[in-house]
Amino acid sequence: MSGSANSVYDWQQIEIFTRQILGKKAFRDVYTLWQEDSGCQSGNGTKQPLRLYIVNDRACPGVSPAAGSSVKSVKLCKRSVVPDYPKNTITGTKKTRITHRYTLVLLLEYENSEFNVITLPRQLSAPGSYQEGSTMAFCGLISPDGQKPVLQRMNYSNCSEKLTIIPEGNGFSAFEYMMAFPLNVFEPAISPVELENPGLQSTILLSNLRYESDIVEPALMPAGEGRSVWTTAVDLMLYEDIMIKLGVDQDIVVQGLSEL
Amino acid sequence: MKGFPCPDIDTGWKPVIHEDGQIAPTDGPSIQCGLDVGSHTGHGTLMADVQTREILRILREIQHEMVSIKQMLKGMEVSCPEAKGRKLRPRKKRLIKKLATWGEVDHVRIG
Repeated sequence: MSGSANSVYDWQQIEIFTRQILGKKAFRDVYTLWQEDSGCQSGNGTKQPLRLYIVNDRACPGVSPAAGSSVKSVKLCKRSVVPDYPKNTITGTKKTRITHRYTLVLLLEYENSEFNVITLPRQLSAPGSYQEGSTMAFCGLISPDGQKPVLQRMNYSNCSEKLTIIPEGNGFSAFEYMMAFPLNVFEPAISPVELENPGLQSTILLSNLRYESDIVEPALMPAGEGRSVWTTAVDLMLYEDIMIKLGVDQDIVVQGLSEL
Repeated sequence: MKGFPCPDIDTGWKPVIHEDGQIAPTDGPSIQCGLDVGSHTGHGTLMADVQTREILRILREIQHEMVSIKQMLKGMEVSCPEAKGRKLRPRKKRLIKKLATWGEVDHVRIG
């Protein structure tokens, strides 16, 4: 720009459309797959890895079942996020809640060098509710009758987290992770006036997904009708970074010169 | 901990959902519109809420206008002293000369 162009008499009124970030918050290393420590389902316990009991290769339910071949390793192949998720909701108690639904595809390697691919939670069942042709693993996120999810909760001073699985037909379609926190956690804090803005928008970014899987031990699990089946206990945990931003569209009028 | 080659998931900007299921509209109704509807339907509380939001929105716009004007004035102050100097100095010098000639003042402060 030339020196003479700096004169105020040459300035024009320029209208700019942009999005103003009112507040944002980044959560690092959030466990999005976990369960409460056993015997403590009050929300005041600690997060533990999700304990899966994966049915061994060539293991069948029976009164004196064959052990089959136990699981040697578990690898996460894919994490699919359900369409329209994650989503953000403002609660009546002036909190913001992030809801995230997903499914997992795991690659299993057995001691006999066989491989298998399973999809969770679709192929999950409650212990004692083995379903021929569909059950590939058991876990404690499903009630013993095999019909209802068991809600996992974590409560902190002003934040809370929940994990459950979503029923669909006779099975389960997705894991649902929820995190709720007050609006003053945003940086900067969101004011009540800003919260009432009819043009308020949000965006959520999930990044840096990681997981831990540990082979624990062989386990004989009840399969129902007096039978049992040999499984391998595996601890699985997912971590990721979650960032949320709240903002509004702005039309800004400035005085200046356009380079065009 | 094992890394996992998974692409980042970005929802993009979406209207915030309130727990009552109401999605915040992207364009709020005007005050006039709100008053009209309120007077006919009788949903006083709801309309008052809409009006309050609208008033707050207008107040914010006014605030932004004021900030914009302040910045504009500040910009003018920065660029004006040069012009003032050019116009005023010769006048002052001429005035000093005249006053000195008439002998009415002994000393003139140049400020």
